Amino acid sequence: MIDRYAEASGDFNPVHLDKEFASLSQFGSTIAHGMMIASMVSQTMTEAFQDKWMETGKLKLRFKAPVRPGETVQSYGMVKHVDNKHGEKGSLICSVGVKKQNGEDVINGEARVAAPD
Amino acid sequence: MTTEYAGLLAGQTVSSRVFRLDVEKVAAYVEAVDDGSMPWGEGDVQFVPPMAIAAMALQGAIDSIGIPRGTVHVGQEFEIIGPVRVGQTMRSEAVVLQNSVRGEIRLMAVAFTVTDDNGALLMNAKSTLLLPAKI
Repeated sequence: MIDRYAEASGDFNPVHLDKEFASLSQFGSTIAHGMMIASMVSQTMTEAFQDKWMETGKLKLRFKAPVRPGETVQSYGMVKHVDNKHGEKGSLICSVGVKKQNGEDVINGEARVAAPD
Repeated sequence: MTTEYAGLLAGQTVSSRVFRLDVEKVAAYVEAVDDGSMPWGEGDVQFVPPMAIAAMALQGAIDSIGIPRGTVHVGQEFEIIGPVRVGQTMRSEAVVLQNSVRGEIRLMAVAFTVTDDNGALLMNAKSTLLLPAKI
């Protein structure tokens, strides 16, 4: 997947692709592109909120830990609260991110989407 | 064209690029990230995954700035103003928000504005990178 993402995105940073280069980096091995892992969050929001996400989505993410080849990760999203203004439908504020199987946060952050009709 | 990243100033425009995510590019992206939520749209009108737009905008800026090998991406934001159709032509302008050094690490934040053919805003985005302090 990492190779395919590099081709699709044009990001050939050797930290993702070159084992020798990456072994000398702070990570000690190649790692997945942060944007590739982050796409899981947007996918989760699209599946949950459909047109509303594709038309009004707002995302703020922090990349907390690297994902190495062979690791399994899972995205998550949870509505924290509804931001209503002056009686309007407002927005849903969601806690979002991606975790490894051991529960370690890989990415975390916040997403905002217009409340469903 | 590459620009020495160490000398970039906050507020400086570092790239302004036109790009187009056609059917093939979007399909390659969707496959690469295993996006089960795509394709999204109705009939012949399909939309581009928002993160694909942010990724392409970021890569355009990286190519312009000459970001060094080993640069680490530590933060990403985007705000969708309007959905982008597959095949739609877009312009992405990247402006440096922050370029500061602490020890041997440089923190660089870049803001992106993605617009359509008519200049209408499609997306705002921001990427935060860690890179070597010195070239």
